[in-house]
Amino acid sequence: MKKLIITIVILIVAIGSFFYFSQNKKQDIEGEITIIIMDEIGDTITNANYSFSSEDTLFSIINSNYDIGCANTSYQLSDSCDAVIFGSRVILQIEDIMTDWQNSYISIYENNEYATAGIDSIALNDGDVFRFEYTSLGGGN
Amino acid sequence: MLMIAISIAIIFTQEQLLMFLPNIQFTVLLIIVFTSVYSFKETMILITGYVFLDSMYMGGLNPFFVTPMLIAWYLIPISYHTILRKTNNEIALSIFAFVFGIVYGLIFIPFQMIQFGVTTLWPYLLNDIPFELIMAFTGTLTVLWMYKPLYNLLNNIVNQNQALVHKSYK
Repeated sequence: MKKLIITIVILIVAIGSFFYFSQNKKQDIEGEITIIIMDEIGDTITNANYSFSSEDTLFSIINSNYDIGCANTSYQLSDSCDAVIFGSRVILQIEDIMTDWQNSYISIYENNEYATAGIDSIALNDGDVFRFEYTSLGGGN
Repeated sequence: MLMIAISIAIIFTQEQLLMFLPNIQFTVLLIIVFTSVYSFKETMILITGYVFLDSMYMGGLNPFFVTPMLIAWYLIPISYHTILRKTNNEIALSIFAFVFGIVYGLIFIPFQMIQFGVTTLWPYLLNDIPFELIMAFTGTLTVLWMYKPLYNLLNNIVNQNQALVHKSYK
């Protein structure tokens, strides 16, 4: 009986947490964002504005405007950028900027602050500036 | 030694098979079961072998992953032989599995901060919470329902093997 009660409690909390963490933050119905992409030596290779609607996500904008590569389940570079069951996709390559996750990765800054969510969970608001920065491990770029 | 090798293979295989599900695996359950049946020394060897095999396969033995993994998994036999007092109570062990799921993620934080920079503490902490919870829930439920049957099965196998070895020496 105790085991059954613990199981039910765990399942309720698990389902509740799943819905809580799956909820996307509120985003504007439409607007314009700026995307900046910086390479390994800190040079800006792109600084462009894109308009978005309520159906757009940061990933869809990046995916439709740039050549990207995502990490597979083993964190190896893959051409397939299928949505993941839980969490967020990891982008390892944008155009010529290649990272390998072991020694480097692409960090995302939202309005000059290190993003606290993955690319699939970031809400778009009018005027937001997103910076994708090649980052080598050990800090800094 | 053969049993330890087989146990490492079981842990590694199930983990690779369940890789498409984030943090959902039977590793916590299996290591708790192996800890209950094998001696402290045998479990430490098993964990060391598993962590090195997993790290070689997944990430080229990155010390920022190997070290926290070793520390975290070693906590199971250490806790089992100290605070858990070698209990076989699946409810106590499932509560331990829940706490372990959270602690496992937290142990990585200082190493991630060294690797990615101090400024990543808060983003890492926030991003890791869902994965810690998945590991905690999976660990709790699997230990709660599967610990006893697996423990009995493995214990029988180990006892039978020991009896056979003993007989062959006579």
